[in-house]
Amino acid sequence: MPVIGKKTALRFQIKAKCKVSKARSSSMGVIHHEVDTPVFMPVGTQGTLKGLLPDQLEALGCQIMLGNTYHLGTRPGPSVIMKAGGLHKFMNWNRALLTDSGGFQMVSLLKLAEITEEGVKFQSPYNGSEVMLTPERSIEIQNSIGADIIMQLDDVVRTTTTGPRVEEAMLRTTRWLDRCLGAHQNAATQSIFPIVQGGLSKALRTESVKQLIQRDVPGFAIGGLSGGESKNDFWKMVHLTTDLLPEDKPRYLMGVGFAVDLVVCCALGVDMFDCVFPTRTARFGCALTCSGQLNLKQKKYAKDFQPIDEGCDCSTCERYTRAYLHTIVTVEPVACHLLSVHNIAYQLRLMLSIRESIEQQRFPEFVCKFMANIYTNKEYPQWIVDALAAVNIHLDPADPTAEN
Amino acid sequence: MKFILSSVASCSNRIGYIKDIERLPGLMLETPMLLLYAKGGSIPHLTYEVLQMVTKDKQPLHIPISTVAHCHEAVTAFRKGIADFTGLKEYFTFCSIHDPAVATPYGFNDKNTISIWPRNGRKQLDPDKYMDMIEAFQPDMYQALCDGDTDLKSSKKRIHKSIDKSLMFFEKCLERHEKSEVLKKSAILGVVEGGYSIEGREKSAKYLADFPVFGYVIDGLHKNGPDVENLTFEDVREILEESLKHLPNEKFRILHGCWNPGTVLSMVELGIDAFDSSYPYTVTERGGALIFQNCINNLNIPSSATDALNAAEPVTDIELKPETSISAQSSSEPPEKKKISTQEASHAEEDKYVVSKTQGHTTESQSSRLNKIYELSLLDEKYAEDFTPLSRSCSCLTCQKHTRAYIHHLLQTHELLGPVLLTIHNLHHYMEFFKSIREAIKSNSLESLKRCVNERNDVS
Repeated sequence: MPVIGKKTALRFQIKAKCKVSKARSSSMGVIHHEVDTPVFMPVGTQGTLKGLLPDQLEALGCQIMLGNTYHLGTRPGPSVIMKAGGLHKFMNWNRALLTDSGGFQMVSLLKLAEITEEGVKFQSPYNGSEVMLTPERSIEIQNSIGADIIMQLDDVVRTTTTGPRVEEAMLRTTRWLDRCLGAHQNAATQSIFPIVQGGLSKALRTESVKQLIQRDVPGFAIGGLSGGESKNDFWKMVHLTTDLLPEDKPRYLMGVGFAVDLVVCCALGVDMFDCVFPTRTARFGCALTCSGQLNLKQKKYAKDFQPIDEGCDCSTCERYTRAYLHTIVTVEPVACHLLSVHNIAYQLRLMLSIRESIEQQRFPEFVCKFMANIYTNKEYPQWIVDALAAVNIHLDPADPTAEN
Repeated sequence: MKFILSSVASCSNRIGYIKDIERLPGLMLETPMLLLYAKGGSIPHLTYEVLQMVTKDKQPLHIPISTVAHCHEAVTAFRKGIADFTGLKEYFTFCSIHDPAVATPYGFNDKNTISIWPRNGRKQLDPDKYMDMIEAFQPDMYQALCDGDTDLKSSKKRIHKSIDKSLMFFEKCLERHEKSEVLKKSAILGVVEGGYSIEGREKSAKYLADFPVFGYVIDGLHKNGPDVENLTFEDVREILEESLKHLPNEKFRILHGCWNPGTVLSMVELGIDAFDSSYPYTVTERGGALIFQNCINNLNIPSSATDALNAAEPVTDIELKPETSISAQSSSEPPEKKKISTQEASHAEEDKYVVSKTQGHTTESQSSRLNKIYELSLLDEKYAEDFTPLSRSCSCLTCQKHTRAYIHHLLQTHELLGPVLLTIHNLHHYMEFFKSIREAIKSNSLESLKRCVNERNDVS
């Protein structure tokens, strides 16, 4: 096996482990920032996070943001980003960045994508020409973008796909990892994460991890989930994968960001998450709170003069009422900014609470209280009860806040 | 609330301030003043948090009733007025009827009502409905209901109707205002109509002059929207002069609309005290960044000492002849004794109800020439790899932290941050422009400022 990229640009140090579950609180040092994990990474697809200034994101406590290689590689294109001195400088963001490989967008956004051993072939939506994204090209673009953490190009199949195609994709993903590592030019400043594949098959997931951990890589992504599979399948695959991955490296669960999923997957030992949900839902007038979501478009908020969340210290809750937001949501861009600030503040505060509770050895209690707030009738979905039970956290419907 | 014109002897233009605002006793607002256009109660694209990064000064806000009419019921229940409702209670609020940044559909006003277009469709307002709304919103200042549905093309008949109806509305609004408990802290402005008719302007202004109002809105010159920037000062000069000369000098005067910076300066010279920021908003919406010289550039421009010598020679074709400005020192003089140039007086006789001869004055090439003086279009492909700030000399957050290339990319990809960064710059630039106007008046160097503003700015 080729051992490439000996000099690693990433340090990972576990600060505290939950004595009950697999949760851990760690510090992940990359070139631009010392990132506290478990961490939620907001998605700034095109080199910007939905109307928020970098200064606002820093004030919110955002430590790492995600950019999409497919979008950035198309506009403004790698050459402009390179001339700007990398994406950090182009967008003036001084903390950590992570880019995906571009493969997922091709398969999900483009109808005509065709995957061969060479790479992903697709028709450019801009000029109709045929374009080939190879592992080497993906890394080349990601090298010019310059994110602290970059993703290998993986062979993406729909989560619900079954049969030999899943195995083919898993095996090809390993081959493509080797090509990515071979093409990587900036090992001193950028770290490549491989992506665990294998669909919903225990055997294939196990094999995928077995192959990937033989490569010299600083962390791992768990891919191919959160794409329409049942929650029961979802948590079992996460649980299995974190059991198999080495403990001393960060684990990134791709595309997961609903609050309950974050809490459960932290318990299962995941360190990093990304999702467009908090900012996307803001555009539709939806605000996140510890007791669930508020759709501020609803008439019932027209004369509700409270902030979105009394307990929230974000700049939106400090000054704006639900009633005023009700009059501007989905109409004025300002409303979108106000809800994005609030929703990101909510996600980041949730992650902070998770980290603190792990460090103070009260993570199981935190989980129970959190779930009781969301499910006020204590009717927990079975998958949550099962997933948490698998890591020794027992939600007790009779007394959910009881300490064990 | 008081409006005080400073009577600096050396100063030929109006400069003053508003103070003792009942709701905001500590606030003092200097004139000529820029009201920040706040559509729906928020400055477009700026949250309160970001507004603080543009300026910590409590700039006055201009909230068009047509953009907040749908909040009437909620604000009524809230009981604390529109400024508090929108989360901007520390800010002075002025309410107009229409949105200055959007063209008002015309021909919808009937005998007893005017129409506005809030989000939920056309709404007809009579003085009572309008005053109900004003009582709920409790702005610090507002205009009386009026029918200003006139422009360069309006007929004599339409102008007459507009004047008569507006005067009738005004009396009803004033009556309600004086009886109202909640509006004791608010100031009402009379609205001068008369389209482009000298006689009509005289009639409307003279009628309003005797009422106990805080000031006036000069209305009926246009139907709002981006086209206003293409009107030249020459298009409106006589009409403005006629409107102003019959009004008491010591009262406050607002002119709505997205006039271009050169025209604003000429209007300041005529004696307008307040404008709104629909112009920088309009520039932002088309992907533009203001780059005109917004202060007196000491390196290239003669100092104020030489101003007097150069003042008589028009430097550009947008120039206003200085003798047409109304003196600001004469606040003690009765209005009818104000100086009127002979040229003006003769026009007043000739042009009764005749549409101004300067109609259609602005050609397309002229307006695009103006745009080149005043702004850069960040949509232009040539900025794709331009890693310099919008303006090197600008101290705004956008220019300190971001490049033309980044903003070009944000506009190309329709990202929300594009207009945010442009708004931060354009508002900063325009507020600095108004600071320069006030300084130039104080130092008697408005002519120098006019030359700078209309000069090709070679920053690109």
